[in-house]
Parts: sequence; C-alpha cells; structure tokens
Amino acid sequence: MSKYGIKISRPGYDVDSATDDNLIYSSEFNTPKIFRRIKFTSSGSQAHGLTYPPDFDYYVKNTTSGRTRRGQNYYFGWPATVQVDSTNVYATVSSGVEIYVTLFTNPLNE
Amino acid sequence: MSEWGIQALRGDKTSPGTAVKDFSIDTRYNTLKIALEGTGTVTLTGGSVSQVDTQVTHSLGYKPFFTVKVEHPDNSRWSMAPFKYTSTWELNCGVNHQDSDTIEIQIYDSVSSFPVVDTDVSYKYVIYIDPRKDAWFE
Repeated sequence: MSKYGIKISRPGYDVDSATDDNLIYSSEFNTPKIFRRIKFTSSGSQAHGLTYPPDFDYYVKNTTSGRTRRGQNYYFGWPATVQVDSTNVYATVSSGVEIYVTLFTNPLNE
Repeated sequence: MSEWGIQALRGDKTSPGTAVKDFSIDTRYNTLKIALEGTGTVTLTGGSVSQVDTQVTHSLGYKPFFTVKVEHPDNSRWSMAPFKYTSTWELNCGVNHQDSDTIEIQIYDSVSSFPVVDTDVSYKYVIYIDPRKDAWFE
C-alpha cells in the first residue's frame, strides 16, 4: 500500500527531501488538538466531557498584576494546582488568581 | 512567489478573517508535531523516601519541547510536571533535558512514612519535533 497524507515544508525546503523539523505540517505525526478550555476562579471541579483523562496544560493569572505563569509556581507565591481524571478537572485556586486550563484530545492513559 | 499551503477556518467562525487565531490549521505557521510519546510506571519504595529517575531517549539531537504528566495512585488524578501534589501523601515530579538526545523524569515522594508499601506510579510523556534551534524563524 502506498503512503498517503499531507506534508508541507517550510519556505525554501523541498517537501520531498525536507527533514521532519523543516516541515510546517505532516499528517504522519500526531498533533495536539484542543478539546476545550476551562476557567477556574475558585477551587472546585468541572466535568470535562471525555471518557478518559485528557492531556492538558494550564496557566495561572495573577488578577492584580495581570501576569500569567505556566503550571505550579509555589516559589512565586501563587499556589494553584490542576489535576484531571477520567471525569473531571480539579483546581485549587488561591485568592487573587485565575486558572485557565486547556484540554487536549490526547488521552493520558494510553 | 505566490502564497501556498493550507488554511482551514475554525468551526465557530462563519467568515474568513485575517487573524491566525481564526484558523484551526494555518500552514503559514509551524505546527507542533509529536515525535514520540509513551507511558511508563515506576515503583516508589514503601516506608522510605524514594526517588526514581527515568531517562527517555528521543535521539533528535537537540532539546525539544516536551511535557510529562504523572498519575497519583491514591486518586487516579494526573498532574502536569513539574509539580508537588498531595493526596494522602505528597508526590513530586521534576523534568529536565539530560542532553540533546534524552529527557529525564524524576518522580519522588517526600516523607518516609508514605507510601506505606511499594507503590506503582504511572507517567506519560509527549516529546515534540519542535522547536529546533534556528528552525523557526531566522
């Protein structure tokens, strides 16, 4: 069976000979696909709507300064944590911060 | 030179815009491509402070973007590394590029009393092809 798909190289590179890191897009490789975003302004949980624990990333915004940091930042005094399981997203939010969680379609348990 | 590539409008947009954020795919910009992903399990020793370091070889020859998530065995909740997360006991994870071909995942507990018995901890890593030094945009 012949290979098929989509491959696009960066400008100046022949798509037939470009190395993977010189491809803008290649359907040979999986790409992160955003499922949804969830905002937390207080501690709690929200159902994410998938049947498995999804991959995720999150940023924590200091509502006073407007600055945003990625993930846990105990050393900066902005305690905020996020976990996911197969049903929910859980967040612990301290006073003065908001959490923005991006959920991806990729499962964490496979 | 003429423009080329692919643009696909997001499902929640009804008319083409000029902003890249309106497109679900826009090949004027690089796309994160997963080079390697996988899962694994380490065992933390019960009754003592323990740390398990795991090396994952990607052989890309440069230091790529990567992410690691770890499941706390007490409640099956996943956290994003680096983190410190306490359920009934504190689980920690640190990550680093050991060199240009290897990432390292460090999973450890912090007190000798937990976990009580040898306990398996699951992790997942995703290593991207991107970005490579000098690949985008000179």
